[in-house]
Amino acid sequence: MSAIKTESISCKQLTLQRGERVVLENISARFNPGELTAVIGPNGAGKSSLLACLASVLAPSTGNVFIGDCDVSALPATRRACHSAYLPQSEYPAWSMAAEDLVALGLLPWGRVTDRAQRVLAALQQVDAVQLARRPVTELSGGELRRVQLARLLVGDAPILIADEPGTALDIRHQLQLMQTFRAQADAGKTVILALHDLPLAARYCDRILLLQNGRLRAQGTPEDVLTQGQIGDVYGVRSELRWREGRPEFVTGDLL
Amino acid sequence: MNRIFLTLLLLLPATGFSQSRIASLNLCLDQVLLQWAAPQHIVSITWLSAQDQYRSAPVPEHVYLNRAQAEELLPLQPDLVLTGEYGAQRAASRLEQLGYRVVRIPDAYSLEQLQAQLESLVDTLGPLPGLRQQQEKLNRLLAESDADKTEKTKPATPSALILSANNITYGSGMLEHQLLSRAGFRNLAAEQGVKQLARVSLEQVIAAEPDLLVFYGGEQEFAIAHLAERHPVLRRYLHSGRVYRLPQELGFCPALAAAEVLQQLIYKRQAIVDAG
Amino acid sequence: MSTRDKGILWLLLAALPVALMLALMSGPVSVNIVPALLQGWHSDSSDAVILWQLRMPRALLAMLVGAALGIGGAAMQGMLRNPLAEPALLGVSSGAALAAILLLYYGLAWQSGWLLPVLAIAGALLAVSCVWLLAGRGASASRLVLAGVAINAFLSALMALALNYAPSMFAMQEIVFWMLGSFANRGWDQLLLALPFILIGALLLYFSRNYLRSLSLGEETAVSLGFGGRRYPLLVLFGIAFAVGGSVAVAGTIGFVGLVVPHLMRPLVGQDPGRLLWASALAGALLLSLADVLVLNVVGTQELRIGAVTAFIGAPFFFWLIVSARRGMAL
Repeated sequence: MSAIKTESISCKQLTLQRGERVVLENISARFNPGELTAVIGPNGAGKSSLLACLASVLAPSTGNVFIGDCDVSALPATRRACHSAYLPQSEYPAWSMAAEDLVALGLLPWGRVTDRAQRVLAALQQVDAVQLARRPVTELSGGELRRVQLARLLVGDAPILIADEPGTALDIRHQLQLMQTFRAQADAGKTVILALHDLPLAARYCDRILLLQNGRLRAQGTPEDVLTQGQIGDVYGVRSELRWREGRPEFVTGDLL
Repeated sequence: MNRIFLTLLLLLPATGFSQSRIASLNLCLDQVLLQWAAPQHIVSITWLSAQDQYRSAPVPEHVYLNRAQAEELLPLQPDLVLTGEYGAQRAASRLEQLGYRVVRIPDAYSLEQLQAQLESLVDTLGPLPGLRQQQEKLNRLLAESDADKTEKTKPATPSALILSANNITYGSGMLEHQLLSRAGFRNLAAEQGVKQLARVSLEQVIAAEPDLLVFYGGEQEFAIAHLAERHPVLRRYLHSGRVYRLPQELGFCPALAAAEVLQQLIYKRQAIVDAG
Repeated sequence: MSTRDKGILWLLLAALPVALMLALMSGPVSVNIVPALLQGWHSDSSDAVILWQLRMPRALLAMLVGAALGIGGAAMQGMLRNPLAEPALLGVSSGAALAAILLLYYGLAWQSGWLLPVLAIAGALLAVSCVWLLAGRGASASRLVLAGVAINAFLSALMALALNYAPSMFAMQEIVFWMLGSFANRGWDQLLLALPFILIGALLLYFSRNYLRSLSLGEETAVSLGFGGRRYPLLVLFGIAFAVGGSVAVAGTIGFVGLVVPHLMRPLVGQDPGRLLWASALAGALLLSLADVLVLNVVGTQELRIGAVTAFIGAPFFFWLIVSARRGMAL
């Protein structure tokens, strides 16, 4: 298992159709190493679909996804899986297994791994879940399970991390811990893409934000560029304000418009 | 042979027995009629006789296939209705009540019963040449075998064992056993105390080491029931020719086959004794 | 794999020769085992013939079929992500049996050779694809069992119909054979007929073990881990069809082995679907050969059908599974 250092991921003119419905329309974006990007937008805007396309779980109808300069459709599936790791919105294990065994599943794309136990332990340490290692996953609380799944995402040391609503079902403390973990991953050179509903978290932790509306890319850029009163009001129909506090952006929501 | 007699029959006018419209309500009697009676005299037989697995002779086109219902036979106006001792009794008694001539031919589960059955058939149908010949052949072979027993003090008696469908073997109370012993074989199943039918596994067949292995029917169609016969362990019996296959008819109508089977078994025994 | 798991696999492996010895000692004729074994393959003594030509192939065939059903059951549970999946219960075995029946009774004879397992495999493949399409992966237990029961009932009815119209004197008995299975009167020829196909099936399932592992986290995650496309499900479907079809072609349908065995193994070797494949193969071989020893030693006028024995063991187990599912226990 040789770690791939850093890798960017991008999509060009990505369109996804499901039957008659256009889920994603002509989306082009680039995600760079060291950046933590949030994909935001109201329900049904196409956040999950975009992430699934980036993770090669869904094949786009037209357009391409590139890892570095390489078109993913030209990459063998297991090689692609060594470059990008993905955590879907809901992922329930079909049967009970020890948490460490679930984490180890993240190493599957790598084939035979000699230092499996150490890697699993390291991943569990990163999410503060070492004490859960031998617990059956069906007996974990929602938050504990999410952390174990996060360790599964991290264990392969893939340069691109994609997670769909990773913070749901977590309490505030664990949500912050989770975002800090992703922040640390990005700071270590990973390309991190998260779909988020929680705009304050997105504003506080992310370098870049993609705002989707009805399958189209409405805006992309830094939090200040995207989370403007006008755009948020337009897309969500909610009053909002982006303030600066102790050198960090702070997003506050107001009344319905 | 039978075909010659049939053509002979067609050439000759019907003899002393007057019936010219015969119906049968019994599978075995169907076969007897088809085999030995003039086809133009048969008006109806049971539907089973037209089934592939029972058909031993072609069924003439004009023959009605009945399902043993009295109503079916009435329009045919038979002057003789044959039936067995069991089965179709309701139809038989209805026809009798309506004034038809119904004759019950005794069933045959032993050689003695078979002789009585043939006698009864001759009495009813008249001295049909094929039937007479069958009767005479059986009686001659049985007389010879009786003579053999009294003549020689210790004849060579090779052993035999029947392996029928579903690993069934036949014991001392059965017609098949009588045929084997009359042909000069020791039936190993009977020696082990089997009275009627018993199951015999391939292991027991191998352990018993019979000189002749006797299969029973089932050569045409595939059936798991006959799987034992195809087991490679029996190959040495097949290769050395120490097998004999009883025809399926022997089971449901010994009158057709018993004499021929006895004859062949006698030859088989001679061949085994000569080889040994 | 932990040392404990390895220990259990070795224990199962060590139990197989014991089961083989038990099977060699079981039969209506009393045989001196050791001298007969030493006399060897070519000996003409009846003891040696019984041992080498009758008991040995039967015992090994029971193990082979048990292993095939065990591994097939484990793979099916893994692929459908459902612990109630089982080849016989969900009609896969019936599909194979129906194809075999059509060939044997309406086509060529038993000596048709390779065509028999090949056709049985095609039948199994058709049935397993139907289950897969009808229920879908990750289907709820009730939907899966519903789909499977429907397919199984339909195929069983077709089997009965086909045998009813078959030109055979023993149609009813033949139906019982195909529905309850049997190892009676089987020899080396049937063992060698089934062996290559079952081995191919096992090999296909071996290649799909990581796919089955990844599937335990759901289809999306499996794809993201590099197990996307039709290749992997087809690998599993063919693997199950080869293993189950190959065994049904020579032994009829034997139920519940594929259901019970993976469940017996889970507490011992854990949930890992990859490891479960081998553990289930070993345990299936052991279970079915012991069931056949039971068949051989139960005295009766008719030989007890092996499918009846496995149903006796398996059906109550199935009830228990459903009851625990109702209580919301983790299966």
